[in-house]
Amino acid sequence: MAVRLTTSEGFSVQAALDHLRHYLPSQAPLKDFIHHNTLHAFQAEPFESALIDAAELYGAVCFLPIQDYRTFWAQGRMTESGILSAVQRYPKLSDSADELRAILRGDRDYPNPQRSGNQTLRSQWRDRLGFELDLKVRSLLFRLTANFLDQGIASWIFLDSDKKSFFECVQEISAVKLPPLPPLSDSWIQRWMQSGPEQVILKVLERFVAEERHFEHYLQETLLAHPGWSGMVSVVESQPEGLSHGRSISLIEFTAVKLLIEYGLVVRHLGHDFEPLSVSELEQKNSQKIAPQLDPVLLLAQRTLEESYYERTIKTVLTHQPRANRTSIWTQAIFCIDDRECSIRRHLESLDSGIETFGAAGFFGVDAMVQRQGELKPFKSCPLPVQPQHLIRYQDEPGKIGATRTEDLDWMKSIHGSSSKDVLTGLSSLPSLGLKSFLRLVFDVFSPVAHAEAYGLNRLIPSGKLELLHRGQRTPDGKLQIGYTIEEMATRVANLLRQIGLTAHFAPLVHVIGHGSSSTNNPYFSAYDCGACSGKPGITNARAFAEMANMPEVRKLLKVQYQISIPENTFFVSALHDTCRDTVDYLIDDSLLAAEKIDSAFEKFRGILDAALIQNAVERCQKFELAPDPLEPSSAHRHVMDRSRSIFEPRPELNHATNAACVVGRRILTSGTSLERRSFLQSYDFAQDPDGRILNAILTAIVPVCGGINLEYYFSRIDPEIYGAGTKISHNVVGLLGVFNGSEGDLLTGLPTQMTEMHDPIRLVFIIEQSRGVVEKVIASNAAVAEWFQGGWLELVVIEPTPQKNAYRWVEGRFELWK
Amino acid sequence: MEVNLLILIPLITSFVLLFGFKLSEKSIARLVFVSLTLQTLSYLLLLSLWAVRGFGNQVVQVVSVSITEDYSFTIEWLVDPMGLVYLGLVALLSNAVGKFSRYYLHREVGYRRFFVLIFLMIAGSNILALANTLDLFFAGWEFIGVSSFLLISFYWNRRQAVKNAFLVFCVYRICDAGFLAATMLSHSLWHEGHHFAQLSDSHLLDPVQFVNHPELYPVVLGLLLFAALGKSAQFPFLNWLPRALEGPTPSSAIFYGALSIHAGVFLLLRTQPLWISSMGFRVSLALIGLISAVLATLSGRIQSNIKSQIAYAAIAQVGLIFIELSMGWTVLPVVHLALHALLRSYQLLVSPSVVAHGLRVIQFEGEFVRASGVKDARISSAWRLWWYRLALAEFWIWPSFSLRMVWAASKRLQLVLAMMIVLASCWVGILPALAVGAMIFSLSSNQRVIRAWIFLGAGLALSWFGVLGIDPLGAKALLYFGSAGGAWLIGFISLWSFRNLELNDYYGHLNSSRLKTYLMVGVVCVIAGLPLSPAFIGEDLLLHTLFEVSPFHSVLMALTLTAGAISSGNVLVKVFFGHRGTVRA
Repeated sequence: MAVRLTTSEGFSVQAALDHLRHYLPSQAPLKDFIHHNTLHAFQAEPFESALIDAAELYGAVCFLPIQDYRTFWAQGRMTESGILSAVQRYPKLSDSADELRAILRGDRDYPNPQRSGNQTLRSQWRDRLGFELDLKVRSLLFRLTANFLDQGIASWIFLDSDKKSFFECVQEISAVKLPPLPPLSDSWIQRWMQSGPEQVILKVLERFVAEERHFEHYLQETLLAHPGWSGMVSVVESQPEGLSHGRSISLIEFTAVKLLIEYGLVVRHLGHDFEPLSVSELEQKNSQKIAPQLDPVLLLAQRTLEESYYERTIKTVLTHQPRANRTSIWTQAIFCIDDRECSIRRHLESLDSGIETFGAAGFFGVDAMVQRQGELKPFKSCPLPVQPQHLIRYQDEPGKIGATRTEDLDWMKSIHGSSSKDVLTGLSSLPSLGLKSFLRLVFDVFSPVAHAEAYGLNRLIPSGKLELLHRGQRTPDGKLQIGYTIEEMATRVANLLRQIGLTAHFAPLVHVIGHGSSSTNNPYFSAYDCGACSGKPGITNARAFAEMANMPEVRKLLKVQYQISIPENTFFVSALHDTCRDTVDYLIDDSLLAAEKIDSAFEKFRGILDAALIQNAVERCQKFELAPDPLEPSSAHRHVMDRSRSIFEPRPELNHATNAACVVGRRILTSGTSLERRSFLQSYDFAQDPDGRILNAILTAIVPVCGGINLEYYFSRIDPEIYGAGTKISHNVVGLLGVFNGSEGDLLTGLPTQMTEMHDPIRLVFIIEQSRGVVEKVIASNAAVAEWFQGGWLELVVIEPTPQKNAYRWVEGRFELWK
Repeated sequence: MEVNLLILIPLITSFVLLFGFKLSEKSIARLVFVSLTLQTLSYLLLLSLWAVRGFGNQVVQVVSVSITEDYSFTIEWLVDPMGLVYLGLVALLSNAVGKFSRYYLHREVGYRRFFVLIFLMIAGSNILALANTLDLFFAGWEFIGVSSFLLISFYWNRRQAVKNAFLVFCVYRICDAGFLAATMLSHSLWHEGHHFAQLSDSHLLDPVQFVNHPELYPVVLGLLLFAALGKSAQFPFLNWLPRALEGPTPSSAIFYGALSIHAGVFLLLRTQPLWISSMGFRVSLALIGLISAVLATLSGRIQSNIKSQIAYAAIAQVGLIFIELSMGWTVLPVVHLALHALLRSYQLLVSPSVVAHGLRVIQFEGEFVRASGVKDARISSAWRLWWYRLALAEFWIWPSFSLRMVWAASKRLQLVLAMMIVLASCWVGILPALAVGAMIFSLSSNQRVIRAWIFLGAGLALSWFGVLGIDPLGAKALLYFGSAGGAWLIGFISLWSFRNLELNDYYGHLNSSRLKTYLMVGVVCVIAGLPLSPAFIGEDLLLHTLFEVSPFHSVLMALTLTAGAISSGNVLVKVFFGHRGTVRA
């Protein structure tokens, strides 16, 4: 068990909470939904023991229900050879193989995975008080916390919440004598509050739990009774800039308020003299040294599911014969590595063999904060761990705010704003709002049209100019440099081009295509955008990269310093692929194209891309049960468009569902193979990277992004209630921060079932085209990356670039030949 | 014919779906679409025929079943502008929500159940809009009530959803008791005159009519008001509405944004001729509307979650409609009702989009909802804290009116209870008094299932024995007690394996005993005398006849039956719904 259950020395509230904070969900407010490993707290441990510990701590399950595995078996997603290779890979599971076969065939029954209870101290309150203490505490605690943190739902917020801290505000509110706010308004609680949050916690713990060594355990149970809110408080405390309206709240204050309410309720029922909770059960549990085990049969089933996929995929890649004679390349396109771009690249290439595609993390090496015209604060548009030092601003002409017309914006304001909800303004606006609601209801439900985009994301297709070149300015707070110097630009362009191996043979036209996703009536909109841009559409980055690469000064420097010579007639064009609608917006002046004399090539590409998009829509529609039948290309495209703009569509697209592999290598390794839209594709040329430096940079950037996406899907699928957010259908938005179910409750973290139901929980396999030695060197030198592979959080397979194409698998710290 | 279609189509659809275990999602969706289209066509047909027949109020009698010589259950429809507006709302919203949910609930567990309940609600709303008698109106009212309870507990594994569903069930049941009593009294007061169409003929409302029981007039009115307040979530019942938004968003939108919340308003509209001459009633109506509007607005302002905010906003507007009603207006409240229903249901349907919109506005304008705080309200700081605290606590009306009071009463007030029973038994006899006592005992949560169920049975049996001796009643009472007794027995058998569970927790046995759960839902419907069971007419008949003989006895009987309904609902919810130890419930 990773959680310390006892402390040997003096107890410190701050230290205990700092330790517990680690185990709380770290999901940020909805504004920045970024995929991350659900079990990040356990990442230093091996995967299997982390599963056990986390299941124990959070009360989650480790595996799917038996029925799901039977379905996989029946559908051929789990195979006999999968069982064999799982047994080969994990010999200690071999005893369970026959049993598993019988279960999968339906010859034998087997119990479904069970949750274990995670409370030993607090559960005693039930017997003592006759009711669930937590259920009584929640109502007031959540209301206070939500109202304090509220970013724009309530029109009356917590008094002075922008100036005072949470504890001070609660103190101020409960100080009023009447009307009663039990139990906070009790006079003795008032006195206790005077001594400050830390003392409050200690006092309550002393009364509740007699022995100091169990204090931390009680706090752990207290916070994990509602991991969502505890986690939100912790995230806001450590990253206050994540809120648009800053709030000063800490885990100590939150815990103190909770314990006070709790203590007040207990005193109201049991009086001031009550026995502390019994620790015997807890001590008994701690003394049982036998660590819980993962069920071997279910574990083997899970492993078989993974091995069946790995086997099929590696085989596909190994046996794949690239097409021999390629026509000359007339255009190149750089896409994001995103698994959703996997199929559009395949369609493009199959439509015209003169098109070459590349994959790179969708921020295209441009690590920037972005501030668009009219925006009050910049936002981050690069991977989460990167701390950008540069700001890209949009200059002059602001463009429309998204593709949204002002009347739609006004309509949304009147629907969501407070005036329609207050009694008198509500009455006066009712005649017009009621009639408009009638019209909107009819249109939005029976014929979803473009104006529904008003509910969608910040889709800015800007006609304004990027302020890209640094002119000696910094932001007023001095933290960010506005724009890049020529040297900085050249470095970024060179790094990206080297990463993807595009350092020579430039086609006249190079497209840089970022991606985003539009959806309607969807609080998770940010999770559908580009993960490498911190959950924003990768539009500015693509534009910035293309403009940098087009600058003559940058090209000159590229040639001199980096030995990359981009021919004069090569032109970079940026675009944004909407992965939900399957449309592409080009971010370029037509006049510029004409000036570069490439407008005919551009038109040609555009036509092919449009055809590819339609093929892509058809392919995607095959996974939508409600897609039109029969599926025509035009109806398929209309269908995906409708999904993005229907207020009644909980699955605008399937997002990263089914993701399972990440190929780092030349496109020739996979071009023409389907990969079923399940693979992240990073372009990488082993030949240009004999010492592994480029690989190191690539893995540093993409392992956390791909691993985070994969594992968040993995765990949300395994236990949709504990790790995931359950079904979207009854979600309710609170404070613009998060969602919960129904009328009140804990914030839901993780992904909703609508996003994960199609997903097979398979740990992502990295397939790298490079020699073993280089990869070993990279892993040895990069601890952050190594952790993912050493612990078995991700799988690693290396395909050596020799004529035999031997594959090696990373097993227990060394490479073994694949079969 | 076209009128009956409007009732039959949704009812039949609901039944087909209920027993269509094997239907695929696609066939369900197709059935829903066909049914909604047919329903809309029938509505349009009704509308045009109504116009052809010369507008105004048209009465369609379908059937009148004489159950006894002096009691007949009449199915009689009234087609008038007010009802047509309501029907139009039902048609529009059910189509919209039907299409919406076809996609929104795709692949959701309970897809079929959702539409069973939605169609039950549509049938109920259509009955409500068309009913020409209080009895029929009550049937529609109850359809809405049942489907409402089961949709709030749609996620019947979630403890909080189930708890809140039961709360709404209790509020509905208690207010329904008022409705039932009002129906019963009106039977006695106006043997013929309880038809809405005739109410508008002023001569029937001549005070002479009340000559027999002039003292009952205010009682009837009070009971009607009580019923309307509960259903429309007005003071003092206003806090259940935000807690009812536990089900799928589209069902919340059509129920609590539109049809269910305005059912009380519609009741008052229908019975307006009855109360319009009572100044006391109108003043109370206006006061209640005003209080509700103010309190709901204040409570709504501090709500940090979008659905509760909309719910409170709805209560506030309904409060205003109550005030309009009290002025004696009819057109304005109907218009207000229609516009308001459209706005709120739309707001609830698009409530998830508040995130994308709000965040964008913040990004460009700095603030979304102007979070003024009370600090800008230019009142002294003590006052602003005070208001804020009141709003935060939702005025503590909620806990004081919650059923915890009933539970507490059953535990703490046993002496008072005993005295009441003695008093009551002196007045009407020992058996009915004991029946009330038994029912109240069956409500306690500190007991095993079997004990509660036996108390419930004892209560039913005692009240039956209590009326056995009363001459004209013996056979008539059998209709209710026969069905309730049968239901109780089925319940007893279903509950046998759970007999030792303590009623202080939710056990969630529906996962293991699906059939028993469905049986128990049926059992509760029968014991509670909900429509479609013979007990519905039986209850009406029983109370009505009893009232003729002994009014006070009938009051005790109504109390017994209400407590019995709540008790059976309690057992159902505790044993079969909810789930022990769901962490994120």
